[in-house]
Amino acid sequence: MVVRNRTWIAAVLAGAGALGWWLTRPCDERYLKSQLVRLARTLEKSGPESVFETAQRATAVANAMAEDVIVESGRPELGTVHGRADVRQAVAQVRASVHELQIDLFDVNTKLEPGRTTAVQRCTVRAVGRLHDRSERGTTEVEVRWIRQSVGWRIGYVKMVEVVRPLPDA
Amino acid sequence: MEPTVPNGAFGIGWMGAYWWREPQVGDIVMIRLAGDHVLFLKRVLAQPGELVEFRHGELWVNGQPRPEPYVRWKWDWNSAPLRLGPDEYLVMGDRRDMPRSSHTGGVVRRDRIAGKLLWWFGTAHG
Repeated sequence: MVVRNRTWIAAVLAGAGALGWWLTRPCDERYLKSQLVRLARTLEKSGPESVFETAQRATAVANAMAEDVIVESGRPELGTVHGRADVRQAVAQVRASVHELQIDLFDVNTKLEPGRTTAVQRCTVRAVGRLHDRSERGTTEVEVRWIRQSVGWRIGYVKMVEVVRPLPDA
Repeated sequence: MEPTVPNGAFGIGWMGAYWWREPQVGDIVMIRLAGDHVLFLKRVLAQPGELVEFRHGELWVNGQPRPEPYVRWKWDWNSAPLRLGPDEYLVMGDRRDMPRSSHTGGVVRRDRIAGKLLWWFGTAHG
């Protein structure tokens, strides 16, 4: 009887261990989601910061990008940004123009393409920027394309998805 | 969707509203982004195939003005005539007291319409 009980306990523990491993196993989808969340946290700004910190954050964001990254901002004032250096500059500009910046991500879906060297992420981004007593908020769907490079996963393309297309001007 | 649905209002939507029927003009619909956790609320103004245009803030559909009793304040919106595609709807919010460029509204594909807002409760201050 004792042997049988021990067998059951061992089986349950092994099953729990396997389930725990499966739930927490390293996988590209989970890694890319965590990277995106980390990027959003890096972009956020909670109050005044020094020029050094602005540059440091902008560099950290740019380092997540491929050298020839393309970012279609969907904002007329920023347009399309080409290359890591320009991303760094654009991020620094945006950070300098707001006192606070809050970014929330929802519905992050990651799909690895065949070969597992590229991945497409879609998510809903809600951003709130505050400047003095004025705040501006926006919600958009964003598409992020990741590329697996020798140094790891890097972002090759970012696009704001136009869910609602404005009417043409008169 | 202010002033009809105040910011911060509590609402109930039905995701199955358009499983067997198409969105109708005047419906307040939920528009899906990357998933179902964040949705836009907009009113359907025109259906597929219709010719739509704004002239001095008035909505014109198929060459006729279309009354919009739910819009209280209007900005001088103007747009070029546009024929909606076979799976496209014109959607806008009810608050039009701003330039058109500041308003999230326009043409949306049918597959983005997730459901219909059935009921809501809330004050102007949420």
